[in-house]
Amino acid sequence: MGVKILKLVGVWVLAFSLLLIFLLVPRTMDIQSNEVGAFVSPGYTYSFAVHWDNIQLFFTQLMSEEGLGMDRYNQPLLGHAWEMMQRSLWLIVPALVLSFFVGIAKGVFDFSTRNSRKKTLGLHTTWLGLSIPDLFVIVALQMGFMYLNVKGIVTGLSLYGYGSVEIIIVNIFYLSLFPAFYIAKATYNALSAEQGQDYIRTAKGKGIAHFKILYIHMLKNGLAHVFLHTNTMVLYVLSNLFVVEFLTQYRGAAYYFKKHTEAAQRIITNDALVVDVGAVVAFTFFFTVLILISSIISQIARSLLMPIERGDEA
Amino acid sequence: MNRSLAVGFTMLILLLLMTFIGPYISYIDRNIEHLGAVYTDDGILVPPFSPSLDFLLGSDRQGRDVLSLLVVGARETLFVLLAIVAIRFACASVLGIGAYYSSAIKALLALWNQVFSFMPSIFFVIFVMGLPFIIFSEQRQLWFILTIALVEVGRSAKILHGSIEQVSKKSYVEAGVVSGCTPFTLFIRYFWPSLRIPLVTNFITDMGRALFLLAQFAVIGVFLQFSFDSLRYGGVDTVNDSYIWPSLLHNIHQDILSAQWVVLSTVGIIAYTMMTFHLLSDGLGNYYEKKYNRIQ
Repeated sequence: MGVKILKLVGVWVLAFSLLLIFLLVPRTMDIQSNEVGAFVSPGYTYSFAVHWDNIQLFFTQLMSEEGLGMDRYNQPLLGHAWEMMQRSLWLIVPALVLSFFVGIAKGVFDFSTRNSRKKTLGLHTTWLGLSIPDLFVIVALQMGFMYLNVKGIVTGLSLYGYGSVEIIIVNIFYLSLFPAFYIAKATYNALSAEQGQDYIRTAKGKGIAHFKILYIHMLKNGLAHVFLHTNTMVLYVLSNLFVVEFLTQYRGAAYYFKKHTEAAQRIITNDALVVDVGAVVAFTFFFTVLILISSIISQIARSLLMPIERGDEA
Repeated sequence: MNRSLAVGFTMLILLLLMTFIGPYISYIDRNIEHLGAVYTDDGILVPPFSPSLDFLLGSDRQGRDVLSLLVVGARETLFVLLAIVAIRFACASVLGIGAYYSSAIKALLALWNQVFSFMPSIFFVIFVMGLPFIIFSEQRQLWFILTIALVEVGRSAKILHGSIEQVSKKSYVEAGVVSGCTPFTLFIRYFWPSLRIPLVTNFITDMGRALFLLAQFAVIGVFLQFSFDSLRYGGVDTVNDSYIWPSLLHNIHQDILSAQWVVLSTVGIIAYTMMTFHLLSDGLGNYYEKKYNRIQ
């Protein structure tokens, strides 16, 4: 297991370096205008030497006292990024935990009602949850809240910006919606795969209660397979974080990351496309470390849950 | 009866009718007219116009009929989705099937997947699309399509590789090997029949996923296509010039407050299309599974 974790860290270093190289691509242009001042061409050519200089400069600054640099209020960017990341973590972590456990519960429910009339509530709702984009639900709910507010039925909810409890709760719900259904499907599939196995037949033959077989035998072994999907889940939540934070103007890490990387709409000056490297690096660092931590947790959980996996490939 | 296939197929036919016949219906404004203020008995109306008999789904802030925009934009939307997924699966087939035959490709695929497991797709696309030579490239649409296609190549390749590995463990393949099939015959006659099922179903599901990704990008303001407008005082302004559905979401912040019909219609048609692909994929999967079992 230690080797696997080391390998994960190694791949993280590789992925982070790749992103860094992308980020340090020279972005200064030499905009050409004609005699009346109209735009002719961006006058941009990629130069490897400048790129290499950028990379060297970045590392010398990083090692010096400057670190990642200051923001315009003269605060260290790393601190700013960490503060914003904490706001986002209040959404991400509960959303991940919630969707994971609710998803498993839903998957077990789907599995145990697969042949009964409750199937409509079980499998069919999961199917619906997976095929309707969550954007649709988010937009509809957001409009619903506004409608209630206008009609004076539910007033006083603060649904935009950062700083209220209700926005955090609502955003956690938005973020966990799709992953919960996704995990439900994965749990259902894992349970179905366990179903025909010999040890289940033995357990049934011994007269063990159906309930016990489902939870102690099947779910425990099936969980190892469910954990295989955690990375997809984390990536989805992080991608969706951009949408949710932007839609609700929640000033978190994704919101500011987008602000810092946004290509200018109006390209007038030569440095219109230059991004704030320090800030972007800080955010990228936190985001990728979050993914790394979740992968490590998932790896540990899998090794603990699946005895066969010990010493075997995951 | 295969209900998902029947419903999905019907929905697809409706979608295709809208795409190819829709623009020629007289009610649809094929040229997408920008309507300014309108004088009525009650006074002056300015866009966005709410849904009425003239504008069945209302109009957006530039006075363009939303229904017409959706109908006219359908062809471009479907074409872009098809392009993204076709490029993705062309690369994924090479990687996924190649990984079965060559250990080097297998290692490459594993590494690719591990590296991309650290990059949320939105993240990666934002990084790449901000590069100057892509923003000013003549082929930036192609770059965008290519980037979105590549982000998930590893995932698709992994699915295909998983399928071919699974098939290779079946005893009928062993029988084929023993009876002296050439690798080529083995692939065409033994692997391909089972491989095309995940290929087709995942291809269709991915079209839905790609549409969703484009919608997510549009919400946060990353667009597939734009052109440059020269500014009087030098420099350029990037202007969205495409009718692709997600582009209608570019003003979502204001529209969600005061022109809900624009957001609801756009997200609605996107949801409809995604469901169509999902149903079709499910239905085809079931259909193939039944057919395959009957032969056995």
